[in-house]
Amino acid sequence: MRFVKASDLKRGMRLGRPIYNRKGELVYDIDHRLIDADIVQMRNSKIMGVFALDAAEPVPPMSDTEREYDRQRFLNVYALRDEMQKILFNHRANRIETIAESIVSSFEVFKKRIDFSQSVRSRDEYVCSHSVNVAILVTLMGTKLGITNADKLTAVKAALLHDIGKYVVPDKLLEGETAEEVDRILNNAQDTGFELIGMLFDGDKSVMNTCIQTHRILMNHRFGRKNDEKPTLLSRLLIVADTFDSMTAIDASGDLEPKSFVEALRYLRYNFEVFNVKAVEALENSIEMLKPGTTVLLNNNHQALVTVEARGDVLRPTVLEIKTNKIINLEDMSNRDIEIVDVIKKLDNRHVVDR
Amino acid sequence: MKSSNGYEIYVHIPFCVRKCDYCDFVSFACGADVHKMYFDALLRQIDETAETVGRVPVVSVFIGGGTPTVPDAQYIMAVLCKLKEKFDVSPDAEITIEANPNSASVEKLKVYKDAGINRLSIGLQSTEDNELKMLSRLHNYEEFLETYRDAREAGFDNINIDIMSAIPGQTIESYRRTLERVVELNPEHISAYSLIVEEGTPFYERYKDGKGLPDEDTEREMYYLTKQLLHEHGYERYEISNYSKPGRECRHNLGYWTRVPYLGFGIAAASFDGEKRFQAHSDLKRFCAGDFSAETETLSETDAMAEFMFLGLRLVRGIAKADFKKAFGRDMDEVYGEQLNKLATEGLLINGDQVMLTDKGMDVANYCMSEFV
Repeated sequence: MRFVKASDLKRGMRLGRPIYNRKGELVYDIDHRLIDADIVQMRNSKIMGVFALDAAEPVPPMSDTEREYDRQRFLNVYALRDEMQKILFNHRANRIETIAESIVSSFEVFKKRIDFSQSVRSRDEYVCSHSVNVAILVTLMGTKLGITNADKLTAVKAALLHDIGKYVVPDKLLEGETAEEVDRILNNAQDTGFELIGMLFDGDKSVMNTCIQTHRILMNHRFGRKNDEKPTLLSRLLIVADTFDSMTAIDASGDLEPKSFVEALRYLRYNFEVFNVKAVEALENSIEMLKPGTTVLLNNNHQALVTVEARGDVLRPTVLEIKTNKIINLEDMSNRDIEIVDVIKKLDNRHVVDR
Repeated sequence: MKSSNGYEIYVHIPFCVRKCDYCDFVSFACGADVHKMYFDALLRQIDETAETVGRVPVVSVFIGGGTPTVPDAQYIMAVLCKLKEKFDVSPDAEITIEANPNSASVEKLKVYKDAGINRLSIGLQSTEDNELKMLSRLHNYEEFLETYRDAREAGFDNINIDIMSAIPGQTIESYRRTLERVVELNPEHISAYSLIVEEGTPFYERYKDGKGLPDEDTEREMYYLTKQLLHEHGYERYEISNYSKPGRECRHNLGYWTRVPYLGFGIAAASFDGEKRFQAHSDLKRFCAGDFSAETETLSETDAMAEFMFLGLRLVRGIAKADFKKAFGRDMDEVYGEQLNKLATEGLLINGDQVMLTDKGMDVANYCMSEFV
């Protein structure tokens, strides 16, 4: 399964993930074979691209809960997009509580790790889609860490609104500006956005404070500035979830390849001074990182197939090295020097069906 | 570095599950990836150092932190194998690891024992759960007991327990309970320090004005209580804050106080070759990338002599004038005659061939040491 940009879509390609409309109705199911009319419609609706199955790739299994999860995600993205308009124009948030509650109740029930592969994103829904993903992640992580329901709702609201600055600035205002200028404009917009959040919750500043602290710490990290601030529990969750989704999601421009989960997770682990180790572990326990059947690249440049999930460190499962046909348990101390460096996206997942 | 009869080795493991609010040691909470990078670098550093200093004899190894029991026990085993491969580690060397309850399972403890570690130092601090909470420790008393029993089961017959006085909210009664419960367990060694509120810690922000901490009189009373109660139970004080059963003094610390040369491995670790001291940097990522640089600090003779005095006087047995002469080629009386006489007149010090602080002198040790600086 791989991401195909809208401009590269071809007749006969098959979808790797289902697509829903704003009412939550299924428009295209998984394995749907595209015809010309579909491609035209997708381009018209400004979809950036879709996950397509490779030729002869079997349809990846999708359980009912996974389908429901995917549908919920779509519904919430549409709802958030409408709500954002209201917040910007009326300075009122009517439905943000409802959206947050819906996300918490839909996702806190997932005890097992869930598959978090990204679905399609159009350019204008990018921020909403990212915000909903982050909200889902903080729900899953917060549940793993056993935080209270009230904290979970605050974290989810902060996740939904943390990028509010990007709505304040219309896309076209940023066109043709230098990177520094864009940063400056966005930062100003972010401040305006945070003030707006402050007005929304009847004197409860916790959502605003979580957003502000997360933004400040991530900006300091991005620009290599030292950070002496100790983030609150909710900020720690948001910092990890926001960074993970930004790294692994399709880039807003659709030009950059998303980073693999492995690469993103290693980045979070390495920068432990910014990304709290407990929050990162909660993330690891929330989503599927390297499930059996994933093809990976090892640091000895060999390709391998994940056969058994790791019991401890999720990045150290048991693998089958394809070239040598050798089973290697990466949790074994004698294999300590072998590491998974990346996930290979182009190989198919045929064995998943064979299991 | 100068060769010697025997080196001590200190290995710093800068990892914790979470940093305690009063701690100002160099330690970080991070995951398995960083642990691996650090240990890879640590093994390389041992190789490089061995190339410089040669296969020197080693009399003791101390693995401290952080919490050395947080990373996979196999790493500690790898470090010890490497040390034994590169240095002439004496078969009866004292090899200590620091452990925290909760991070040392019985399986882990058995691995340590198999790897040749023969002494365990467990950070209990208090047997009162509310005081442990106050210190933001991650364990309760019950969990400590489990670790202690596991350690005995794993075969450790030389165990130190760390306890702490002057904890916020601590009373004489609660401190007495801690002492009584600890001696009941019958460890070989007890370290009893009082909490120092260090700048740069969350504790400093909370208690810099002293409010909420036991007052000076209470602290003093706790100090006397420690001495008396431990003495009654067969623990002899051999250093200001350290008590042991006969013959169970910590050889590693004794070496440090008597200026035995030592090699430090890991970030923020210090080394001492008898003349110069080397202080490694404390940047974890630089270390992982292979930067093992350290700042050299050459002690002037005056500083070295002062250090000899104030480190040696921490020990109950004190220091021999002959050792001073051997180390510096000068008579102690010629250098410090005035100070020695003054402290002796005040009844704080016994000035014979062996110089030592009196009981009263120990009680005001800081004042006595300051005479030599």
